[in-house]
Amino acid sequence: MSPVGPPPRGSHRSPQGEGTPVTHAIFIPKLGLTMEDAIVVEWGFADGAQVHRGDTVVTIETDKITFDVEAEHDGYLQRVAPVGAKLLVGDLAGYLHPSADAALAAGQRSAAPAFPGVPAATAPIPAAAHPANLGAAKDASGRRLMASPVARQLASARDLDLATVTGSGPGGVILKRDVEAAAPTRTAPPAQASIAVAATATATATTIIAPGTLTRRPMTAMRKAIAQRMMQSLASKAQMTGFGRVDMAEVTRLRETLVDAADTLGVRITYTDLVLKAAATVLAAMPEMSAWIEGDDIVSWNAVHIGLAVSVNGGLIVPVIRHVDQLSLVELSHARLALIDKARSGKLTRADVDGGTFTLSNFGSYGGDFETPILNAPQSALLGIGQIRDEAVVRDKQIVIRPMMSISLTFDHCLIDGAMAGEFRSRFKALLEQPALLLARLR
Amino acid sequence: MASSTNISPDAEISLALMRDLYTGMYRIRQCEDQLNTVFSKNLFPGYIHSYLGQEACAVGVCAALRQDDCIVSTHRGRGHYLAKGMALKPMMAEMFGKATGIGGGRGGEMHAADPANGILGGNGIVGGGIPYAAGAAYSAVLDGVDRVTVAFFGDGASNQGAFHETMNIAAAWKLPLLFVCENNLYAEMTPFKDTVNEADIARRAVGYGIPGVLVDGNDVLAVLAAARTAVARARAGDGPTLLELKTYRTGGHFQGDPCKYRTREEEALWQSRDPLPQFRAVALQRGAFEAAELAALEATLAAEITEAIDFSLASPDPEPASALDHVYAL
Amino acid sequence: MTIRTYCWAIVDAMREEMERDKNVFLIGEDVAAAGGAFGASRGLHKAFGALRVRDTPISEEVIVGLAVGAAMTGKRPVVEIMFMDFFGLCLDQIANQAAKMHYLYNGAFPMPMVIRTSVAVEMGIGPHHSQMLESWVGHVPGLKVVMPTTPRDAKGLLKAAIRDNNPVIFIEHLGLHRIKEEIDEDEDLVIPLGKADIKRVGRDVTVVATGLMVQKSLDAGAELAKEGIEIEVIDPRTISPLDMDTIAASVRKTNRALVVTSAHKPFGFGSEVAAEIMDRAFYDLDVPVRRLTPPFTPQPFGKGFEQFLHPDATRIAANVREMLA
Repeated sequence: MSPVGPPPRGSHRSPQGEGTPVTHAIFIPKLGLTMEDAIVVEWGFADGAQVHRGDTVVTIETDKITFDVEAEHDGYLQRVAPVGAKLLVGDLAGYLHPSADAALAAGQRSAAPAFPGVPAATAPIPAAAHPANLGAAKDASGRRLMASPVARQLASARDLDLATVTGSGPGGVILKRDVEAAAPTRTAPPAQASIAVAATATATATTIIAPGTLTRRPMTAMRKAIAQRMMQSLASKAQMTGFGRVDMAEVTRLRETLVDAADTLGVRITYTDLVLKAAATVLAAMPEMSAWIEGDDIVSWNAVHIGLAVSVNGGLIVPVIRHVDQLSLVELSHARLALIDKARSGKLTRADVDGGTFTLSNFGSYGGDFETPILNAPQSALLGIGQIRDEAVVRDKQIVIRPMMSISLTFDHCLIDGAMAGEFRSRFKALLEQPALLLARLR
Repeated sequence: MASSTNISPDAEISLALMRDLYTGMYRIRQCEDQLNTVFSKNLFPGYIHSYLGQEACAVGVCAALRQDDCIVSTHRGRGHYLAKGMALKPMMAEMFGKATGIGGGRGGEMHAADPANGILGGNGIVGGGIPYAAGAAYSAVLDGVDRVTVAFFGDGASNQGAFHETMNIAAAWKLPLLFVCENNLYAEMTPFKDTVNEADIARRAVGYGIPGVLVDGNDVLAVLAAARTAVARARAGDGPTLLELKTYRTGGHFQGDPCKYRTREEEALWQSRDPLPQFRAVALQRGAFEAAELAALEATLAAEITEAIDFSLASPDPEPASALDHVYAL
Repeated sequence: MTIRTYCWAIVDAMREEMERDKNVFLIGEDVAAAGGAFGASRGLHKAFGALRVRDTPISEEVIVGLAVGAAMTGKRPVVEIMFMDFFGLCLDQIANQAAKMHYLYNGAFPMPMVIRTSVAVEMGIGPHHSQMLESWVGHVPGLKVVMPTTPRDAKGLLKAAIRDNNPVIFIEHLGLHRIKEEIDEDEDLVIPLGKADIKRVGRDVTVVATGLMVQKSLDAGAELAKEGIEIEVIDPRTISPLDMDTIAASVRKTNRALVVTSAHKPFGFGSEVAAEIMDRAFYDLDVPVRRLTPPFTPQPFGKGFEQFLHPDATRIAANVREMLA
């Protein structure tokens, strides 16, 4: 029996009463304070397959992170949301039924659009352990197809719809030989694909329409998420960017001292650490920079959590360092390294990317100077830094060579005025040009 | 058939031996008394099959044996275990099913073994030990040594086919085996005499052509004398003997048995024949003990039992996963 | 190399083990003077004397009891229970005593004993002399159960059983006594317990057969080969512990399994194999596992009844064809 339509949000019981076998619904979980929706990236099992509690039943992607949803119960899967669908937090994604038959029957009756089984190339299940398509589809008149376990196994591996196969066994049962006759060669062997946070599977099929003219390939889930986020940010904030130039000579000297002491400190302090510290110091004194608009309210965090934009394969991710204003340079450096490591190895959790109040982006790492970075919604300010480069500047009416760094501060003009943004840039520049001032406020 | 009631060849019973006999009996008495108390306080897991009242049987027989002689016991085996030399604490802990028990707590109240002292286990099957006692006896024959085996059993087992098969083959093969029947007059809860036509089990020996001896099972010296004779016969290669020790279990078949199947008069009669006070008097009279010394000994033995029980109660239970061990030997 | 019958292979095994280890001895009804009710101990009495090869009265319980007690005190007894049908007379000593000694007493008593017994299935002797009861003893933890079907297997497995430190029930088929095989008399032939033997390699159906059914399956195999059907015949040799690795691997290859036994279907050996195949190779099955057994009746007297009740090569082949249809 399957319920008609999705049960009310928050309910996990189908209306069958106590003591009967229970169907459990799979909902999109809320993974972070600001999470509102997620895209279905991949199902871990096919319809009718047996799922055990703790198995990854579906993988979803939010604007921040990719997440493996674990089954909370044992059961047999009915997929409701197709791959690529965007669902809100709390929406129904699928069901776990008490039997394969129930799962398949429900799947047939549901109004959800038909979609093909999990493509073999991205199926993360070893075929021997969890064959997909355990309960095959129905024939034209809606009767259940009889097929032997090995026939089903083989059909799944060869991506063959059993409904298209004629069975030659007793009573019309589909046997291994029937599947072999219908699909003599294998398409793609079922492979193990791990869903890393950033390094998702890239392009699947490539269709060339006319040689040399046009190439089309589908967007990855991560790319789609990034695109969406960017447009949403631009659409909701009046973004303006102010520029500045900072003389990094003192910082360079300071950094050299710190690098020489790397063994004692246990870590190699970088320019980024120093920049983060300077920015955090200013932010602590200017809490208005860490506020944002929600509806008619201005919301502000009484904390300084700075996100650091990190480029990973296929996209961008922004892990957050917490309480940067309260960390020593050494602690800050360690925290930064740990997060970057996690980002590059796909191990960031929801907690690692949530709750930032400000973002730092380093254009210098790819040779940029001035840019107009797009705000990391819902934040109201983002600082971009360019390369540090020796340039000719005028000091005391002399032309001298100084290591100069460009800074680009994008801010939401709905909330922050040009003067405040300018104030931020001035204080920031002052701290970097006279790093001893950092010491003045050191506790 | 010889009746050897009250035959006590005094010349052969040294004072030291008397002290040992009394010590052995008193130890068993204390063990059974204190365990009954523990049981009544609901601290004992499972059944208790009390040996109360039968102490002279175990002690008298085992006093005729060497350490390398074997015994096979029953479901009511504590008296046998202690009399044959099983260490007290490991035995007690085994009764309580504890990891410190001689069998790791796996055998429990009816199953304890000690190969070093020739104790080849108890049994949950009435008469189950008798056939394999013959096997232990045959090992000695194969080895050409004069080791003997004792099969302890009760009146109930004497009606099992296993008893008869073993009697026959032991007699035919002249196995060095003692059949020691502790006839406590009740098989489980049924009077023995209601289940047989011939109330004296010892008479069955005639049918197998071996000696059958009726003994007062509450007279430890009588039991010892009869056992010695049988052991000597077995060691000489002349074959088995059936000893019937008439006795009484002053507890029931198991602790908590309301004993509706016997009269209070009968119980009182046998109470007056309690083997311990009987022998205590004899030992004192012969000078084996001074009164004070005896009291001190009794106190010590009682304390040892208490200590063993405390040790057992405080011991850990076996690791549940150890249930998977020893199904097969390597 | 020499040709030995199944019966002589058993004699040879006992002789060699008794020469090798003086703790091995043999007792049972008619084993000594008569050389065995079926000739399986000819010459041993003369070779090893009256103590080590000894006739007993008809007392199955104490015959096994003698083995139990002797095993507990350092010996390696081999005892014979003439017919497996008589197990009811000695099951306490087998199942409650022998099987549990080592376990109950926490590893204090390895039990190196062998109970040899014979089955006379399909020999027309009657209801008390024709039962296949390996399930009775296969169901008792602590026991091992062996059922050889060839002279080599009989010899090698009996030697292994005698050297095993556990109680082994060694089931001999009277109907196989005369079959012959070449055996190297100089080889110390010990075949490990718990290892099945693929007696015929094939690819279409896995046939697991025991006892008399092994040869019948091979006969069926020869017939089916003419039709292009190649069955794989597996003789478990040891009933318990059962070598499911070999059987499961075969099923993964053929996708079909047929278990053929003289034992009954309900609660029988075939049920055990079928359940184990489910656990290990369910997803490799093209058809359900099938059990071919006699119907669930006692065995009446006479050849006519035997032929009606028991599977033969023709029926085995018919079942194989059905499974491939």
